Amino acid sequence: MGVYNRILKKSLWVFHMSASPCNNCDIEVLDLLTPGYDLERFGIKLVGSIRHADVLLITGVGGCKVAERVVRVYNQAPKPVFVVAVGTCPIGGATFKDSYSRCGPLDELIPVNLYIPGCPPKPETMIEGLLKLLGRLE
Amino acid sequence: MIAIYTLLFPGLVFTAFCGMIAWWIERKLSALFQHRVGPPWYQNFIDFFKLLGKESIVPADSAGIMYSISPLIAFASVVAFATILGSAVFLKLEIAGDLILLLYLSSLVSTGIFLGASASANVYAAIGASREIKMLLADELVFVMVVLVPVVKSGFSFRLEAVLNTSAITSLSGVIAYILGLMCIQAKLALQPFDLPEAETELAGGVEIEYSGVLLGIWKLTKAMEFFIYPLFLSVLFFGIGKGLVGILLSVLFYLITLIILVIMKNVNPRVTIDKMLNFFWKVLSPLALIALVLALFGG
Ligand code: SF4
Repeated sequence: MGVYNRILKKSLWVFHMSASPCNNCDIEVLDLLTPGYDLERFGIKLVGSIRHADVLLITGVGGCKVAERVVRVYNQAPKPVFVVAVGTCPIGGATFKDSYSRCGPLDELIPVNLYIPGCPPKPETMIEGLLKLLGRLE
Repeated sequence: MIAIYTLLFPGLVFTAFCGMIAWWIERKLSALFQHRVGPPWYQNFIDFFKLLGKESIVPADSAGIMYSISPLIAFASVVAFATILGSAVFLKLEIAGDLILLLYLSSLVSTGIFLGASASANVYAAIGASREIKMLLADELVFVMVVLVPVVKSGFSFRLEAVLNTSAITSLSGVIAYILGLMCIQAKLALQPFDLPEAETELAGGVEIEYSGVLLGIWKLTKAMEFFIYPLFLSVLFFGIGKGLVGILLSVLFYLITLIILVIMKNVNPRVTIDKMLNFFWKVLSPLALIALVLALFGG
């Protein structure tokens, strides 16, 4: 597994899924791909289909409608796949903590490998988090 | 010998290596266009090896056998294309009627993509497949006429050797046909403005949306090899291969210019819709290609 992980570390394809966020986190995630931050230099690329992805990036609180879709998308991903939860929402619910439509926290639905807290987290934090994930794959 | 030609030198390994590098040039130049740093040169190799280690999923309601062999069809035709073209270019070996065979193999790649996408039982893949076949219908006629121009210039010979010894680009009809050929290659490589079948932002990968793991890796390898051989095909068709060191350097330079023009076209154009693309190829480019062909016939 050692050699393969070292390869995987340098080429992470990310599939971004919104599980009922307030949309701020999504905007910050999109920021990552703009010229200012340029994740392609680490080999990180945003892909359109979960079948191509190595990382499932989830934002949001996990509303009841979307919770079952999250599980379905996770099951459709080719393994090995890593789950990264962005924002305070997947952890504690942030503003939507007491909402009647909340079926989270996320780690009750699917296993989460990495949390990136913040409401919303800064792009720098997300880069640091992803690079931590790269170190953690060892 | 044939096994070595196919697997090693002008065929699989060599073309795959050059194709990954050509694709990296595309990614790096695109990054520079957008004021980014871009990936390191080995990025495509790493992507490919990573895909080999992933799980390969065959969707439950897809046509399983077709789904799994159509990447191999496309891959095999690309390898055959690379071997025939590479033997003629690098080793001066040729077989009879090879130009016709090359045209046939290039459309077989699109057919493979079409079959794979329609077998995967996904609506986005189905849209991608229909666009792929429409694009094939649109660009094939123009491409055939473009290829006929150097054939006429070399004295009506369909053998690659004769075509490689004449440089058609020095005449007016050659220049027109070369520019039209660039657009056909753009469509065959599915780069913007003709990236309709893949359309990452619209169809989420389109034709290859359901593919994962090894099969996706084969698609990516096929695409990388196409990146090397189509510009090579176009540049040797029109420039030929120079004699001596200077001539060879000029040929390499011409190949690089062809590749870079393709990348620049990719970066300055947005995606067009399928009807605009069809209109453009049928109503604008086909008459132009015919004019170029007639010009060439009259020695222009
Ligand atoms: S963490 Fe904050 S910014 Fe992000 S989706 Fe939740 S509420 Fe919005």
